[in-house]
Amino acid sequence: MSSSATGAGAPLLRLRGITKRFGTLAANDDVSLEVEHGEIHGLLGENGAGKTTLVNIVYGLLQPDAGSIEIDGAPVRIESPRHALELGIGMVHQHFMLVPDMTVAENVALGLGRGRPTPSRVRVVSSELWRLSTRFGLEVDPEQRVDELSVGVQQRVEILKLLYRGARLLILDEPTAALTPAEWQALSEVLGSLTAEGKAIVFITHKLDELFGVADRCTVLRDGAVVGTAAMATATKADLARMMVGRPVTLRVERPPLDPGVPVLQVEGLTLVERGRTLLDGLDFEVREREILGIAGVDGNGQRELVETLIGLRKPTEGTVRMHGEALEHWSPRGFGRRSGAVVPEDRQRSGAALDLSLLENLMLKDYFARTFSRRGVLDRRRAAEHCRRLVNAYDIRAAGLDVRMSQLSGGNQQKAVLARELHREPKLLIAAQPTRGLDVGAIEFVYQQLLAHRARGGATLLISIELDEVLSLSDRIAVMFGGRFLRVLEAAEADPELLGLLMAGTEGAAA
Amino acid sequence: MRRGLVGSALSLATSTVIAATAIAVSIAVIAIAGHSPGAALSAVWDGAFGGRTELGGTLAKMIPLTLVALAWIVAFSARRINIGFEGQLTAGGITAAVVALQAPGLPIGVHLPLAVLAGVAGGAVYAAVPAWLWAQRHVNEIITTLLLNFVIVQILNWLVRGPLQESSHGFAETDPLPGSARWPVALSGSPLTWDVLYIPAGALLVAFVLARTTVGFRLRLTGASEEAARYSGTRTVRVGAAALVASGAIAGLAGSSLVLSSQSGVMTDGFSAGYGFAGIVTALLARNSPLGCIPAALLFAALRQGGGLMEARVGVSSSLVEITQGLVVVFLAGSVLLVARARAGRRRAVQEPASPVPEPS
Amino acid sequence: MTGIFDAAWLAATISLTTPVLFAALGEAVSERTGVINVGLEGMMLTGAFFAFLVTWQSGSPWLGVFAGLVAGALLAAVMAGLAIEAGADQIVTGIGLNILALGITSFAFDQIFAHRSQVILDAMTPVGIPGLEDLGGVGKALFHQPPLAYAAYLLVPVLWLLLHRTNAGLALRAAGELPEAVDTAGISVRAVRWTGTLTAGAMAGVGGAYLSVVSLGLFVQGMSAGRGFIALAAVIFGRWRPLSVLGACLLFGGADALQLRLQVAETIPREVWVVVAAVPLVALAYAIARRRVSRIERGGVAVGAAVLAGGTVLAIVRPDWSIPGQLWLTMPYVVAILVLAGFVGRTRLPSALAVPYRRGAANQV
Repeated sequence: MSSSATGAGAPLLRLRGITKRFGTLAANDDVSLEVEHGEIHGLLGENGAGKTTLVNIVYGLLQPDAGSIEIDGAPVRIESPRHALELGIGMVHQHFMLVPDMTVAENVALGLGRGRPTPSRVRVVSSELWRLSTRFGLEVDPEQRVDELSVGVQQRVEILKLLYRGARLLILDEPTAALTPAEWQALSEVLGSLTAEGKAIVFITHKLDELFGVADRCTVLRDGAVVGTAAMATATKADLARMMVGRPVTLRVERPPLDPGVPVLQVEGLTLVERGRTLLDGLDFEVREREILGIAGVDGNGQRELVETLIGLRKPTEGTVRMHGEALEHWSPRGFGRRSGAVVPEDRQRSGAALDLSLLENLMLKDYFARTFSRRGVLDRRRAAEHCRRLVNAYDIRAAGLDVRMSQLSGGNQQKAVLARELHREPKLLIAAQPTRGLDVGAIEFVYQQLLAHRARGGATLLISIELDEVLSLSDRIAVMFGGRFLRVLEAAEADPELLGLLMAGTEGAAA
Repeated sequence: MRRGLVGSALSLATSTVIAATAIAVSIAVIAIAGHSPGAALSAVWDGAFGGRTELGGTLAKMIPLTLVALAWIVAFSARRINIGFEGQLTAGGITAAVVALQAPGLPIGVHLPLAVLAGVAGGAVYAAVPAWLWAQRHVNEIITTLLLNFVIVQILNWLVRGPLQESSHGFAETDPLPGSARWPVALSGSPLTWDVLYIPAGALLVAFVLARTTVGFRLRLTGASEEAARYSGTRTVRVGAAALVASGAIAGLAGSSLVLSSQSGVMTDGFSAGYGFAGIVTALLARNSPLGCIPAALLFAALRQGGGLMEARVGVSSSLVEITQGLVVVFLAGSVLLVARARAGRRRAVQEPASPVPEPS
Repeated sequence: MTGIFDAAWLAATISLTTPVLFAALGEAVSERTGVINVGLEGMMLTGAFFAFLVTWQSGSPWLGVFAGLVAGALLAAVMAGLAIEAGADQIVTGIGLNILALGITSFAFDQIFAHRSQVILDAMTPVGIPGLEDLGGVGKALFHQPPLAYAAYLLVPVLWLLLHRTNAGLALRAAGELPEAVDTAGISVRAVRWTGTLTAGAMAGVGGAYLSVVSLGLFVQGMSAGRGFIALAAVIFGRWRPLSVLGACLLFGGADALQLRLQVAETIPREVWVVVAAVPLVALAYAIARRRVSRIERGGVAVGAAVLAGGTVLAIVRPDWSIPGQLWLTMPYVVAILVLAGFVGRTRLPSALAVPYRRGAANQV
């Protein structure tokens, strides 16, 4: 009697009301979607919108707290990645799961025969791969070692691996992140030939352009919930961008107008090439006193490299960086600090703080060697403690004491400690990268107040964030970073979420 | 800049429980082997503390154990793993012996310090090889320090049978070192010499440097989070290499001490006597606390010293000491898991869900 | 085969190589799965003792060898439990097990044998391979061995087949490089690493048994005498490949046999210098055969040229030198370090060596 849903008409994959919570955070909230046979289904959303959690549930890595999954109309409980594969669901991770010193065929054969000491039949796999790769237009030599292959070819190997195991639904997690345009062109042709044979593809991305011309439909996630599903044939970029980022601004920030002063940081033609990859591509900008320059953009478009270059951890290939008009050469984080520069690193738990050291030590990270706190190499603990107590009070850091390990503080208090350490000397330039990542509302508000106070004191701020709201509400000017370049620098007044969403998705058309 | 008192108390309790368990198992081994545990224990006690000679011997054995443990701690504070103490100690002993033998006639006030410094330099230079390979060629320092142990041991074997062999060419040892290059006896009628002062001085100095100086802070910062250290302007590769060299220098000091205070007054082959590894066990039991090395070294030194009498009087093989030491490591390795699990659990509960927990690398 | 490189040298090489080869082959498998076993030395020693004990009790060397295998594997099980299950530091655990093994074997030996006169067992009877045994001057040296020795050399192709031609081999090789790939392929990384660790322990135990009951017939405290560490060096020099590990073990064994013979020689014979000069040529031939010529670094060329020139000059001049045997014995370690440092070809450790595997940690690159 419940066979109504099964049968030839049922979608390949149907999710109903999937909910997954981590603590108090709902990573997926009542998510429902359907993927038809032969369909390419885009899954669109910002960082942290819940895309990865959702596909991990479908792939058997996570179990949902509520909701159901159906395959061809039959309800299933997906226990593990292996089980998912048996059900015909395969996933290509952003970081390839390929063993570099084994051949393509060996990588595909890995896991066959459950790893028993039985003959591995790599030859058989190899000839089957030839067949599959010609059938789907995936040019791969099964006998080549993986570490000799380009990223694009490695991706094809991942797809072949799944096809070999009979996957019918392929989940591609940001498949274009590392591809050249030509490789992307080739991949989209492959995807076409796959769907022609009835395979379905879920394509996770936050780049709008890629979906047009490839995907049939697209589901937009925001804050863990489905905003809507649109047919690509009728949808416009503007609609999708609004769906993706158009959440109501939750935090109202009072940003009084101030007249910017002289430039503190001036960057001309900044280029960074490492191992043949252009990470920063001719950046030109300046940040002035009493001004916040916001840099919006999706993660991994050169933001981290920009910060590390500015503070002196990486050596630019070309271009000049000036602070207070002085061109910098061979500078280090210490030199950056001496020129009244401060930085809130994007990864608080790795670069911002040393979690295994105490709160006091973390507060002293950039001052312990200063004359005030050490004499002939011996630390003055009394002065350090006094200084830190002042910071704890001024920045309202909640901790059981100065000797508490940093790892025992909440994320918000860790970030307050980082801000206290960086801002107490009233620097002229602050670089704040993802300053509110993972923080609760109260802590976010505190961070915003501090950034604005720094601005009001006359400091210059370079704010780098993937949170569009944040950039919009705090910045005086906004640049969008994509592929190591600034697509455009806008005055705050001319920026709106839709335009920024388009730029962040790399739509060159909007740059004009 | 001091660790929470609760943490130290917990470490102390864990170490005590582990040492007690290892000893209890060793006692059970004695019983299973058909001996009286009571008699064996009292023999160990008498052998280690029963008289001047015994007490002096125990204290003398503490010197290399403590110094090597401190050497481990210095490297480990920057999360570099040096397991080449056996080699660095041997290198330090050789250079100390060479200076002692080649410059006779100097007054003790010059000769002895010179020989000691040569030992320090020998250990440092020998550790500089893996440090350089690690910093410049990204070669894992654990494996190179391990392998270099066996190179210098063979060189020592050759030296005491070749260029440095005693004049009669009958034994694998050097000529007696001149008195001006030997540590004077501190406790008459015992093998204890004045280099015993290394124990309190070394432990206090390392504790002080690590906890209270900018150098120590740099080491610990690099060890705790290489990324945070880099972002705050620390040259982490330089710090790591320096930690290895300093660690080797301390091991070299231990080697100089073994040679310059040896009871026979000569350098023999195999004078390192496994102290290079036993010192690591000492540091592990002390949970990397410099001051904690003293009680841990006392335990192992007393077992080493008292084991002889136990073997002679009760007939229990003195190899029991190695069993106890090995058990300490095995139990510690197991217990580290429990502590780490508890800590990771706590951390996860406090922080946001997707936070990566940084690993000491 | 003339001069110092005669049949007796060959025989000594084989008998010095075999026990190390057992341990090294096992360790190669273990390191491939991501577990480095510094406790190899202790496992050899434990194997040597229990093989000796059981052979003495039962009169059967084969039962003794089996006991050695089990003893080595048991110690490895402790290692696996701590390193794989508890995520304890593999190096520290290995050091501890070495000390423990030295303690246990010495203690038990004192306990059981201290009050007896030296027990000497009959060594395992060598068995000749018909036909090959009578081959020229070297037949007897190579093909008249205890049966267990043949097993060691047979294990080389067996392990090669296991690693390169079976499903298990794929998992073993992947677990040390990219355990996540093994996990997502539906194979338990833990199971694979247990297999590797136990293999290393069991084979080290057999290697130890070979020392005590096969070649000597007696047990001496601490008799493994660093062979476990030579095996570690051989695994690195052999780059985790069974055939190359065999080559490394033979090289180290051959050098050891040579130094034993040179101890009585007044000066170093000419043929030694010829062999030294030939080493870079052989290496070059190997590179050409494997099409690796383009990968030779400038440093490698310089070292090779220097060795070739030096060896040639010395072979002609034939100076009145003697190189002390002890210095020959540093060769395995120096070679392993040079290999690691990339001065002699390029090599790298398996990426996940000594890194505990936790599911999910991979996503946080």
